Order: sequence, then C-alpha cells, then structure tokens
Amino acid sequence: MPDNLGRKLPTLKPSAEGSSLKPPINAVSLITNSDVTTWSPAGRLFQIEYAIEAVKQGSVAISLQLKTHVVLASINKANSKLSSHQKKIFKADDHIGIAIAGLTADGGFLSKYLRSDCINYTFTYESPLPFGRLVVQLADNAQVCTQRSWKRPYGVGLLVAGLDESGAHLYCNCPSGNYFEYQAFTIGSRSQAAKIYLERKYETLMGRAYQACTLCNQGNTTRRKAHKLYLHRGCGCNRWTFPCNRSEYHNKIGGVV
Amino acid sequence: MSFNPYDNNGGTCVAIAGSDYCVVAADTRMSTGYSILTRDYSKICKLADTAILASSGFQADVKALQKVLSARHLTYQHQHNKQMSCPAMAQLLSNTLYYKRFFPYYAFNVLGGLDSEGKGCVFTYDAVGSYERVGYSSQGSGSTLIIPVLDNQLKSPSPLLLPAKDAVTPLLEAEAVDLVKDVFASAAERDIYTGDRVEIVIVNKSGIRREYVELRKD
Repeated sequence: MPDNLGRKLPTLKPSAEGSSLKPPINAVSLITNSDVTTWSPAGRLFQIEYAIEAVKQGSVAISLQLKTHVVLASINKANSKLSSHQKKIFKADDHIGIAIAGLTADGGFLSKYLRSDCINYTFTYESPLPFGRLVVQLADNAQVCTQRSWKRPYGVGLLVAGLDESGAHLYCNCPSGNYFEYQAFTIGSRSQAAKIYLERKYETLMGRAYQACTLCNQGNTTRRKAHKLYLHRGCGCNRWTFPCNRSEYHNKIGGVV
Repeated sequence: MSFNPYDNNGGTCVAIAGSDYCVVAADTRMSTGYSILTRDYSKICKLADTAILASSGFQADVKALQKVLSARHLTYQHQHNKQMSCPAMAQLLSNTLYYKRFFPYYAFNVLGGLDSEGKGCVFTYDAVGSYERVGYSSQGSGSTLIIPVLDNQLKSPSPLLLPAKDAVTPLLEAEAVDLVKDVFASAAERDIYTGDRVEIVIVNKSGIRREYVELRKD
C-alpha cells in the first residue's frame, strides 16, 4: 500500500515456516497479548513469542562452530538500490563476535553494551572477558526486559561466537532470555532450509575453517542480488578477520588460517 | 605522619618530531627516594598506530592513565571503524588529565606520533592537561638537563622571522635517533634518577620500531 508520498512500503510477510501465532481476535486475547507482564490463560507470555517472531522475520544469520574456529555469516539487506547494506555482524572484542537477526536497532544497542562490558572487564582484570560469562549476562539482561512493565523484550536474536582456552564456542541468545550452545545454528527468515543443510553436511567438515565458510555460503539458500554476504572467521590465534564479500573472501582463503 | 598519595618514580622522557617520522624515548629506571625499584620498566605505551605516549612521574598514575586512554581508544575504534589520529589522541589526553584537575594524575607526558598528513608531531603536557604541539620536548627528572641541549640542536629561529619555519626538525631519522642517544647519555651522567637503559621508539609510515641502548647503571 503506498504511503502519503506515493512510495510503496514493504509489507510484513509471515515467515516461511508458518506462524503459529494468530493475531488477537477477542477481548481476553487483546488483554493478555499486549503486555509482557500479563500471562495468557494457557500459560504463555505472548509478547515474548511475538519478539521471537520478529527474529524470524529478520534476514538470515548463520553460524558454524569448529574446534578452533567459529564462522559467522549473514545476508545483509539494503533498503533500496541506492542505500547501504544493513550491518549485522559486529565485533565485540578481539575474541568475541556476534551476528544478529531481527530488529537491527536493538542489535546495535546490544552490541554497544557487549563492547563496553568487554572493555570494562579487560580494564579491571587485564584479561579477555570469559566468553561464557558474557552470554549469561546477555541472557539475564534479556530476561529482565521480560519481567518489567515499562520494558519490552529485545526484538533481536544473537548468534554469539567466541574463543576461550577450551576452544571455539557458539551460543544463540533469544529475546526470551534463553541461550543454548550450538555446533551450528541459523536464525532469521528461511533459515529452516539452511538448518537442514547444515545438519546433513556439518560433520564432514570438522576442523576445516575455510570449507566451513563455503558451507555457510551454500547454506544461505536465499541469495538475492541486492544483498551482500558477509563472512567473518574467528581464528585459533584469537584474531579477528575482516568482513568481505564472497569473491574477496575466496582470494583471502589461501595461506590464512 | 600523614599519608601522601603521590610518589615520584623518576625517569626522563624525550620526543622529537621529524618531517615523516617521530622518535619517542624514555629511560627504563624506576626509583623511589634514593633507591632503585627496577632497571627494566617501560614508560612508553603505544596508544594507537600513530600515537605513542611516554610518561614520567608517579608510575601508578601513569599506568592508570594508559589504561583509561587504551579503553577510550577501543571505544573510538568500535564507533568510528578506524584508529585515532595523534592530534585526536592529544586532545583526549588533555581532557582526561583535566578531568582530574582536583586530584591530578601525577604524570608528566609527552605524546609523539604522526599527524593526519604523515608528518611527525610531538605534544607536551603538564600534569593537568595543558598541552601544545611542538617540534621536540622532554619531561621528567632529566628534562632540565636535556631541554637546553635540544634547544641548541633543534630550535628553529625566532617565529618572527619569515618565511615561517615548521615546528618539525629537518634532521634525518637516523640523526634524530643519534641525538636522542647522546642526550640521554649526557642526562645519565648528572641526573641520579636517569640511567640503566633507554628505550627508543620510532614511528614512521612503515610502522613502529623499537631500539634499546645501555646507559650508566650508577
């Protein structure tokens, strides 16, 4: 439907997996669905589920964890041919990176919070923030937003990738405050196909980071011309490599572990 | 018998700016009173690719100051996607020092590096953040012995003379490094707080290089 200047606005499409959530159609639903601090009669907090729905609407982010490397990939949308691409992968510290899907403004805000947390920890303890601790702090923060009447849940899912003494790790943080460790995971729209592909192919590629990046490429089944694919690799030597599009990436593979 | 929050750990810092390089040097002796605490302590901190800080004075305050500036620099890099330039770092250091105007960092700083055009720049500070861009500077216990020598070798003629001369020295990089070595050797002769070793850091467009030269140990 065009807006008052005659521009066509994007319409919200339901996620490919099919939404199990229906818009409220009666008075009880209207009351229970609109407030994160109100339970529904069936024992659900709909605002949290709607927030998770927002994550499913965002463009896809994929991550893959190996023994010494973690790979983050995302499809970066551009609003139009003339605009820049949305930034979805952020560096939080030399050993931690995140990819987001959903409300990217919330994602940018969270990445700023993560960065300042890492800096403060390093300032006090002169060592890198233990990655697992960061994930838990993030999850607690998200939970707080689900239990205050003046707040709303974050509308962004985070794939947090990091390195510590025990190797490389990947966690997914939900708006609900839940977090799980994954070997490989995808969030965002049309991520189901990528999940299935990764489940099938993942074991054959343990320990080979560059091939894992190609795997991420192929798992991204929804390549559209207006979008750029960004790949980040976490190296075993705790250094962060820079973003690039696919063609640049293949040039950089040789010789860099 | 009251508590004195400050102590002076001695030491001397020097910086010289060239047309496309900057030399920052400091001795490595850390002392308290008439005793030596260690002969091997670095007073030089790399804040950014083109900004090197050398500080003498109370090293606990110096360490805290270095940590604060490094953390602020990290934040800057996250927000702007690039490193801070030396003039930007100079302003940040000034603001950080003045922030503690009423309980100062007991740190006498010399900031050296390359400006946005690639020319050498040196900024000299007092303890509360007053700063100025100069062609060369020295701070610390040996500075009163070193500055007159640098004035003699490097000082440009009066700014009233035309054409106006740049603050940077026309010396070559190797000549400037030799001058720094000579100047520290002289200071170590008479200043009891300066000696053991000089750490010399040279910044130019190909990167950062470090040199060490032995000094009198007495």
